[in-house]
Amino acid sequence: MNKLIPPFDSLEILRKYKTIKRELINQDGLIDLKIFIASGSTTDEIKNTLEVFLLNIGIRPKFLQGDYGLFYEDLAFKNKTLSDFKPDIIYIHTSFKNLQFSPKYSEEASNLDDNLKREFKRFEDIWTFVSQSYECIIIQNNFDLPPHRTLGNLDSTHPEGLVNFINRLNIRFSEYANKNKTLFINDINYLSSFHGIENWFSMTEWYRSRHSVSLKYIPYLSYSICNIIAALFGKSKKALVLDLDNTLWGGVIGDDGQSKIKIGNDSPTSEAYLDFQKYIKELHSRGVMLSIASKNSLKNALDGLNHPEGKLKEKDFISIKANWSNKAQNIEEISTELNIHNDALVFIDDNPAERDLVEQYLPDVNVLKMTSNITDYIGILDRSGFFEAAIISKDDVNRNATFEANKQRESFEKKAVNYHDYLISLEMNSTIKKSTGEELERISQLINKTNQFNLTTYRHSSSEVLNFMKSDKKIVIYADLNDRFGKNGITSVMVCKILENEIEIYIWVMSCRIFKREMELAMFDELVDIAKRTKKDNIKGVYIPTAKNKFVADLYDSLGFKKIKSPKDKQNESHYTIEIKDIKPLNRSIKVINE
Amino acid sequence: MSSSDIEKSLKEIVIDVLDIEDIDGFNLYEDSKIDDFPEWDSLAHINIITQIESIYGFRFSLDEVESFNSIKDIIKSICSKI
Repeated sequence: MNKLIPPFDSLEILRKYKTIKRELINQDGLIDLKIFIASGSTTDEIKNTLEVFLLNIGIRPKFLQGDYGLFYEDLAFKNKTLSDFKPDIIYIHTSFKNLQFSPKYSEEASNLDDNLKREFKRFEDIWTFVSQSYECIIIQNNFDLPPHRTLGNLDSTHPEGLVNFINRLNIRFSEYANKNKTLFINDINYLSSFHGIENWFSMTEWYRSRHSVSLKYIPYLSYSICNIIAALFGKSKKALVLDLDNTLWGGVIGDDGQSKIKIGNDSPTSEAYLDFQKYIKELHSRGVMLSIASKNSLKNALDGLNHPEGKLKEKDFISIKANWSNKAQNIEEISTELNIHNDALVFIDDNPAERDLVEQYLPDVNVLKMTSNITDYIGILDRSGFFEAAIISKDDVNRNATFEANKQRESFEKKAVNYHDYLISLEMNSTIKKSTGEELERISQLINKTNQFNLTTYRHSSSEVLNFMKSDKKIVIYADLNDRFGKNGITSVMVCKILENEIEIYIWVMSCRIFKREMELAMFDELVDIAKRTKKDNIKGVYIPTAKNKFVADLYDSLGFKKIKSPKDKQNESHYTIEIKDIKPLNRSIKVINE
Repeated sequence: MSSSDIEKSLKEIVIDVLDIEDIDGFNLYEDSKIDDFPEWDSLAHINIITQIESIYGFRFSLDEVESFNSIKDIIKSICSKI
C-alpha cells in the first residue's frame, strides 16, 4: 500500500491505522507471527502502527504487550504469561529514559566503567534469560541521545557526561549483537539523529503520556522494526528495476548521445547521478539483483551503460529490457526471468506516468515515489529500507554469481547455431531412478509445490508419497539433471499407477529451472522402458487444466499420445493414450545414466 | 478561522481516530461531552490532541489536556492559541 511506503505521512497513519488495518487484514497467504512488546515507556501506538506495516508485507502479527515500564521484570524472570504466549519475537522498547546507572554530576566520584558495567549487565541479564527460556528473536533498541546536556560539549567526553555514557553503552550493545545470532539492534540512535533529537523526544509528550518517542515519529520507529522483521523472515525485496534516462543519468541517450548525457564528474548534476549509481552498485555487491526497464533501443541503452564515467555496467544487470512496449509487461517478464514474485521487485522511474502505470497493472510491485530532483533519489531509496539485511550472508553475494552463471547459459543459448546443438553443448546428464523410499522429502516437495509443469496437480502428504513408493501398484520415478554449469538436483518426478495392461501417469511434475531441456523426453523414454519390461500394452496420460499449468497443455500431443474420450464426470480433463509398440526413443540431448 | 471551521476539522480527526464507520450518522456538536463517545479512551484522547497540535502548530499545556471535558473546551483552547 502506497501510503505505507516512505516518505509517508506519519500522522495520517496514526490517525487512520484502524481503517488501513481493515483494508489489509483480509489478504490471502499471511504469515502469523507472535510478538511480545516489552515496555520501557508507552507502547500502544507502536503496536498499532507496527501491525499495519507488517500486514502490508504479508505478516499477521499477534501481540502481547508487557506492563508499562516493566521490561526488566517481565523478561529477566520466569513469566508464565509469556511462556504460554510462545513469542516468535520479543521487542524491547527502551530509551535513554530507562537508564539506571547513568552518571550524576557531583555525585561522589562515580566510576564510569563500573556504571557502564552495571547498566550493561541489566540488559545482558534480560537477553540471557530470554534466550534460555524462549525460542525467539530479540529486537532491542539501542539508546537515543538525551535532549539536554548539562556539560554542553564536554558531555561527550567527560566521565560524568551522559552523552559519553550513552555512546559507550551503544558500542557495547553493538558488540554483543554482533556476536549473538538472535539479538538484533533497532538503531534508534540513528533514527533519532536523522529526525532530530528535539523532534524525536518531546518533553510535553513524555509528561503527558509517558511516550519516549513523540507520537509523530512512532510510525518511523515501527517501520524500522518492521524492516528488521522483514529481513529476518525473508520479506526483504530482492531486485531493483530501473529506468535509464533521467534516472541513472541526466538527459536522454537517444537524443543527446553518449557524450552528452550527464554522468561523471564534469558537473554537479553529473556527480549526483554518479553517486546514485554508486549507491546502487553497493546494493548490487550485497546481493540485490539489478534489471532495466527503459523505453529505448537496446543499442542506445547499452551506449548509455557503456559511458566511460558510469559506475554501473552492462554486466551488473541480470535483465535489460530496452524496447517500446509497456513497462508493466517488461517488468512481468523480468520477474519471470528472475523467478521471483512481483512483491520482491522495486521499481524506480523519474516519470510519474510510468510509475502510475506500473502501480495500476502490477499492484504488488513496490513503486518508489521518486521526485524530479536527482538529489532526492538516494534518500528515497535508502529510507524505504526495502533491501535491509538482518545479516549479510554469503548466499546473498552468491545469488548474483548464480544468476551470472545463468546469464552465461542464456548467452550461450543465443550463440548456439540451433536449439538442438545448444542442448548438446550443455553436456547434460541425468540419473533416472525408481524410489523405494529415498529422497522422500525432495520428491514430496516437488509434488506439492510445482504448479507449471504439473499435469494433474494432485497433492499428497509425504506419508502418502511414501506409501506410493512402497506399493507394488504404483511406481515413483525421479530424475536429477547436471550440465556443464553445475548440478540442478532432483528436478522431475513421476508417479504412475500399474494397471493390468497399462501404466497410467498419475502425477508428473518438473521444476521450472529445467524447462525446455528435453528432460521430459528422457523421463518418458524411461517410463516406456519400464512398460516394455513389464509387458504392458498402453500408457495412459491425463491433463487437468489449472490457472498455472498451461505450459504442459499440449505435452501428451507432442509425445505422440492420442486423445480419448474423458469420463462423463471429468469433462474438464483431457485423457490420452499411446500404444507401446508405436513408441520410439525421443531423447537425443541428455545422457541417461542407469543404475 | 471561525469556531465552526475548527469544529469541522475536529470532527474529521475524531471520525478517523475513533474509527467511525457511519460518517453520515455521526454527530459532534460544541456541547458534546467527551464521555458521550465510548471509543474516546485515553489512548484516543492523546492521539486526537496530538493531531490537533500538529495541524495548528502549537502545544496544549499539560493541565489543559487533563481538563478537557467537552468539545467546547477543546475549541475554546484552540481559539485562544491561533
